[in-house]
Amino acid sequence: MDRAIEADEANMPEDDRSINDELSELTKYVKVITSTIRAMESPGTTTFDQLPQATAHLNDLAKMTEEGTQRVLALTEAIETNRGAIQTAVEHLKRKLDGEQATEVKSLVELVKADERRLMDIHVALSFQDLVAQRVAKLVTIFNEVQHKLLKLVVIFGIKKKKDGTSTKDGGRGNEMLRQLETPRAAPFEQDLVDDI
Amino acid sequence: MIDTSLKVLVVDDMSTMRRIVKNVLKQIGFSDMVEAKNGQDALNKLKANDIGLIVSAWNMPVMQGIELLRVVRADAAMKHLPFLMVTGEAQKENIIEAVQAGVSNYVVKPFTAEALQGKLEKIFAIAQPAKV
Repeated sequence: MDRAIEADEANMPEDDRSINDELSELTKYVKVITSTIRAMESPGTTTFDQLPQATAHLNDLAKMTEEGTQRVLALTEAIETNRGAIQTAVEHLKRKLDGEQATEVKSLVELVKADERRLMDIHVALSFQDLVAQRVAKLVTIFNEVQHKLLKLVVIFGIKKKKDGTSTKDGGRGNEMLRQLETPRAAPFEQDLVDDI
Repeated sequence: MIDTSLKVLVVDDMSTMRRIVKNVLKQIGFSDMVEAKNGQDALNKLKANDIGLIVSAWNMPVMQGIELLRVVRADAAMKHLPFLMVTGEAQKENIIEAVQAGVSNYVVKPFTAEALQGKLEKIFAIAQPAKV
């Protein structure tokens, strides 16, 4: 059969031979591309599974930083309320005293006032949480876009996922990281139990 | 001189940021404050309250701060309201866009309480120039 094809090719006009060569090259190229894409099945579908999980963890991260920040804000507000009350009381006391005692109390007032500035600095420093949340939101958007594009590849090239939905061995480091992230979601050991062990 | 008797509208989708901005404003002397979590919510609050100052973030869902600014500046009843943008968007194009849209002043996150107060002082100095 190959000899018949070769004979046919030898009898072809030169132009046709050139087109034939190009078509053969193109066929070889398509075969290479197709086998490369098939080789992507494993890492491609693994990544496709990992992305939603990674996105969920990023959203959890933003939520955790928000909750932590709210707790710190509540504490600094409570400290500021106490500080304000102490300052008022000490200033009132200062007005009743004179001489050396008034001077001593004045230095106390200065100490208490200095903390007002520090508390406000703590407050505005907590705005880091907002910047973290914005960055996380941008990362989530990027991940969603990558997932969308991967899905297109899967659909267009018919990349198969494992039917049982399990990850492949090629999931490797990514899967290990996700497993570690998932572990704290199970109830963490209480300190007493850790001490007993 | 900052007019601390004004009612302030604090707009940000992050509840932590709204809380921080409100505490800074409280330290400056403001006591009457309303919150909104995006531009659309802010417009609703503007209709329902007699707001004298807007402090808004840029990036928000539903309606961004820059869009809120444009709507406020296009409204005859609201166009003269002082509008302070407090945002992490510090690119030159963003600042130019905000200035062209009519922002009163612009604070970049992370900010200090002094920086916020300084910007407000500039806004009110322009709004109420000293008599010569």
